[in-house]
Amino acid sequence: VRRRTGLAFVAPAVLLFGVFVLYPMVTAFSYAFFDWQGTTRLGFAGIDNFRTLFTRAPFTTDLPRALGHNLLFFAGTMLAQNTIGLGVAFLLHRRASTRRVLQTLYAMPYLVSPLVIGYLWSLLLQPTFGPVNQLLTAVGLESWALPWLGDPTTAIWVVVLVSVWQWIGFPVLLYGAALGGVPEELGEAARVDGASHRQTFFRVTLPLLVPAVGTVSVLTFIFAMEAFALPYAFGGSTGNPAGATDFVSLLFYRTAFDSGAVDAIGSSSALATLLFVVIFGGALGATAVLRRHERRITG
Amino acid sequence: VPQVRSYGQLQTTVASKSLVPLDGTVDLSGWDETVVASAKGREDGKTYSVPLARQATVMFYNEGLFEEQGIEVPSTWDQFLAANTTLAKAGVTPIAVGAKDDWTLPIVHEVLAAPRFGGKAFHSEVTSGDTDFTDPDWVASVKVVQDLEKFMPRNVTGVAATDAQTLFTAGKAAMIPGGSYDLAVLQKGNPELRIGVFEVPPPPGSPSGSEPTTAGWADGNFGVSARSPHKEAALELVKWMSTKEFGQMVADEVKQISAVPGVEYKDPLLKQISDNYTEHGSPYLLLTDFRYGAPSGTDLLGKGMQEMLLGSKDAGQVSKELDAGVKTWFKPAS
Repeated sequence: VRRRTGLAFVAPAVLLFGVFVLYPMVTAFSYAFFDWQGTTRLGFAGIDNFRTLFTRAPFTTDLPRALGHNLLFFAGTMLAQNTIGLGVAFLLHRRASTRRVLQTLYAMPYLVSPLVIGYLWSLLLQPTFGPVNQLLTAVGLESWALPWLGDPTTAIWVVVLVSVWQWIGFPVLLYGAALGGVPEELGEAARVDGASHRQTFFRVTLPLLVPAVGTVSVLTFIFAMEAFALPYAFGGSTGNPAGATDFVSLLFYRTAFDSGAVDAIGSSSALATLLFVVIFGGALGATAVLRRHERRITG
Repeated sequence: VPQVRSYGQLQTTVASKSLVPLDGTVDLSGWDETVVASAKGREDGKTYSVPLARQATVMFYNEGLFEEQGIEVPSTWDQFLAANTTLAKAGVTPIAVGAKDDWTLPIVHEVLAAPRFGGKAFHSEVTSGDTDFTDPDWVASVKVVQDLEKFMPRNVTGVAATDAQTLFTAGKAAMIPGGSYDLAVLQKGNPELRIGVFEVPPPPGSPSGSEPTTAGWADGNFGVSARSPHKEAALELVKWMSTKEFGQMVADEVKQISAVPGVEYKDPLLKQISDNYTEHGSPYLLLTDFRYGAPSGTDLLGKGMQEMLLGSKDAGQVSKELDAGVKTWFKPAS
């Protein structure tokens, strides 16, 4: 009886998950293995659609570049979250009175849609009348007033840094909670034993934060590989300028909705499947590695 | 009556047999060839949609700024260059281009340099396979855009299309290459602004007999869904959409050049653009014929020209990559 009641409670969620998540995923997966003529499905294609991704233009040039940008985005975000994010969380942890207010302030930007954030930052960074470059020129740093979003070498970094700025509140909150879970006594004991602040942080606190670092890393990986809205707001669906802000999701969008190719559903589903495998595999692998580390530290 | 896409992007919908053929219901005879092509299935040659509007490329200019600098509308390339130089010296950006948005660049190329590759004549040669995009005239036309970069805003690849429009409507730029679809936007951006339009004169070296050229294409196609439960009514509607009565309403109310021939334009600029096209019309080649596969001609040229403006590629490389890219799927009509 209890088992059946349990099922009844779970049923609505399972139904929603099945209809809106599982079913589309499975169909997209199956679409990738067929030939397509518009929205009409033809015969079984085996792995032809996947082969297309590695042999045909524009994928041969666009896919490696886009994937590279996703990985760069991941690396940049990781670096910032585990240094700046952790640092801010640590500093806030010691200011009991203003912690809540500051945490909220740091978290504010991620309440705004990435599309809006991207649009606002592209106005700020606009080369001819954007305030950032006007300010730089006004204080005599004219040589620093670069065409931020117009130059491929800076444009990708703008996407990374703005994303870091927007999401910094997330590691601050997570690390804040994790720091709250570290027992006070451990730090005190370490200090009694003569450990400096530095040693206490690196030898006692940080190892206990590893599970949180793991969670942040895996979530960041998924987030970075799926990035769409912010790059879209900065560079449109084609990753302007000259593909410098192209991401795999944008390539998927172009393939599925913008190309004149009649087999677009096949190749775009193959791309979606590939992206899923990369994300799923990456997340599983990372979790396994992190679990092993955790056991070594705590166990 | 769903709005469907035109030219290459219509083909997926046609291929999945989602649309009713309109032959016999809608009569598009006497319509512009380029417009009619947008409505057809590439494979079977049947008509599947009725285009709402025609778009045409044009160079807009600020009449006030031209008068201030004593510049007449140029009728030769030398006059065009002289006008640019005068404007630049006066501290005005001569040509507003938003090269951050790659899709605008093939249009900029048409406006500034279509006569240099030979407009309509090149169109028939390249679609029949007699030549390709490595043709020296095509390469030279791409180079024309590069040579004019000095008259565009600084760091042009950082300037978005909307920024370029703002520069123009704010009176900071004297000319802006674009399409008839921009007219309403520019007029709304600054109702005080006196806007004029002209066709850029042929650059030197243009193939013999080249005239100023206005490139055009159809836009906003409507078709009838094969699954529609009200097919009769839908067919009646698209039939009406192909009449002069409807076309006149598109011109008056939507302020677009109607796809229907013989419509009268009250807006003098719209009339002038439409007349330009009637006189020196050519298809906006990369859209009308090179969007039937991926990578599309407009994507390739847009991205390539960004690289050219950034200085990492020259006109020859850009053309070669365009050629190689479209050849992965393009087959000449022969």
